[in-house]
Amino acid sequence: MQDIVNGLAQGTIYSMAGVGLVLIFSVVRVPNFAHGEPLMVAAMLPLTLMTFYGVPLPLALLIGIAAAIAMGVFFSAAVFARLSRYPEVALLIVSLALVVLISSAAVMLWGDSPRQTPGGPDIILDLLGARIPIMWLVIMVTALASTVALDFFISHTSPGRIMRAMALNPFAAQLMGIPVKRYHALAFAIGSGLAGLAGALFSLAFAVQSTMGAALALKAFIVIIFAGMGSIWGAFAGGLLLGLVESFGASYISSGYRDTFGFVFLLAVLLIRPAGLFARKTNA
Amino acid sequence: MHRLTAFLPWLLLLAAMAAVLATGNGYYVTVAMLMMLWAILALGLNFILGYAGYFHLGLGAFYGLGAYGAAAFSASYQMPMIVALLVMPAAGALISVVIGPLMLRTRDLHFAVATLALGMIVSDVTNNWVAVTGGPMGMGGISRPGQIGIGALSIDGATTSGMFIITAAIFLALMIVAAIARRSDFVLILRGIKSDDMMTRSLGFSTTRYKVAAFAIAGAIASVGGVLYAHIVQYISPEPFTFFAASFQAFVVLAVGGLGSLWGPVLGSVLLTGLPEILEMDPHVKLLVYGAVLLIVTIVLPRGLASMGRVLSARARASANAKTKEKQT
Repeated sequence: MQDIVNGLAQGTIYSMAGVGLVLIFSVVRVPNFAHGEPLMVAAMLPLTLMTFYGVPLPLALLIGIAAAIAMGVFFSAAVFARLSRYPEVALLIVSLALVVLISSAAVMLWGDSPRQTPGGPDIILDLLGARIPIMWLVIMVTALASTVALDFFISHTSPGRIMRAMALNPFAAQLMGIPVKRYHALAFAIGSGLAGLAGALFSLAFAVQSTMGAALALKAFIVIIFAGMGSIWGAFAGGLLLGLVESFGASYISSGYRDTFGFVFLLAVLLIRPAGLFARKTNA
Repeated sequence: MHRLTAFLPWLLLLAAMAAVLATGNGYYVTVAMLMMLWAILALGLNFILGYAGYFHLGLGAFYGLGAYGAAAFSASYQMPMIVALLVMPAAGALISVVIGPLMLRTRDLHFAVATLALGMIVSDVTNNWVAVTGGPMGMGGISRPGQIGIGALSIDGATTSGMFIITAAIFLALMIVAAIARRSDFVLILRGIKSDDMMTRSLGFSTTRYKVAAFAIAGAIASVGGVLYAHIVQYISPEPFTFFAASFQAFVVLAVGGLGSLWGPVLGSVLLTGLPEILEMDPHVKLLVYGAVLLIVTIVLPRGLASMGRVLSARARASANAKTKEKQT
């Protein structure tokens, strides 16, 4: 039972990062390996704000998330929207170069030791013998709520429809008079905002590190591959599944190989269903 | 005339190697060795990434395989370097042939993430399988080959310059193979796969077989690189084979140099291996500068350094055309 809870708690951060990445990847087709960096910044920034500037916790978390959104807009407006005609391999390198730049700057700023933002509620519930910190429940509920909200936004609002149109055919979308660049930035803003939300909440319950962005981006990619690209709920479920696989592997086989279980599982999924576990014909 | 210009880069390369060796400066020789090492990795990667267009982000797995294999042969079984040099590439190719058909069912981003995962698994294993790999402490005691050859032609592999000659010989041999391969039907078919897999298959080529072969060549050459690394540094630990240190670096050397070009791997390696050596800075600042250079080179020259000549001459021609037009009007 404890393994299930641990896995789900860890999995929700993968879910939120994955859901944000699905949006970015399906709308603008950028292999954004820097997706973990806004998450990392939103996780690291609040503690700095609190200790050095005396910002109260809720405001510090909001500023962290705002910083993540700003990074997303910056990625879009300053980098990827300008490179839309570049070959994919160049985009891949640019996104990895951003990872190198941002994470080395973050290490200079914050060092690379793990830390946690204090001040979250520390009530621990007891359910069927499993210890569940209340913060974990907050994270899970937020993840679920934000995924529902994003799903509604994409399928029932006008900007959502526009993004689906861009996902389907960016060129045709532009011909229809859609301000493609603005929605490019919007997709990045929402996707990075979700990652930021995940990071800010996560830092209240788990240790975070300035070097964690790359590994989380990779896991977000694994999650959207599980999901079969372009499906929001697939990414949500994929994240939880990845969390469970890691948690069970770590406690039943060997904790040193925690990450390996996720990767082996990914390779197994690709062997059985190359199009993804929950592949359906949907776009965004 | 054309033939002559084709030989020019080779002469330049040989001259540069001889010059470095002649200085006898251990530091220059070592840096040049590292440059050749990265050129070797990138040149192997060129087959799957440059020609076939598959984003292989797990080369570090094979690089690590070669290095750990070499360490085991040398430190645990006291075998000479040549054994590792023959066995490890074969092992790398064999593993590639086994997992290749699985990995190559995917393409584009899926393939990139699958190979990335492969590299991560190997990193995890090198860190955790302490009994065989020594874990984070790594393995030492890798002995270099001693005297090779006879009389005036003999080299001492134990010295840095001896190791340089061995590395250079392997590097040149691989460069020549790569130069020949570029004109072969094999590479032509790989290029066909890159531009249109389905079309190539409809022409009667079993594309999976060609892709697996390209994947295996990359794996085998990366293993050769690993064996060389183990004998150059004589100590290995998991760190140099992690994603950013190995797979990403090889990917970047090739992409910055020029995908699918013969001299791209060499140019990319000279720039990207040389640059951090010239910059004597705090390691974090160095990383920052490295990322920035990477960003700038990719944005300015998306087709790599090897395309620089073409880009410049195209610009020159364009401006010359503009001038003649101005004169006409």
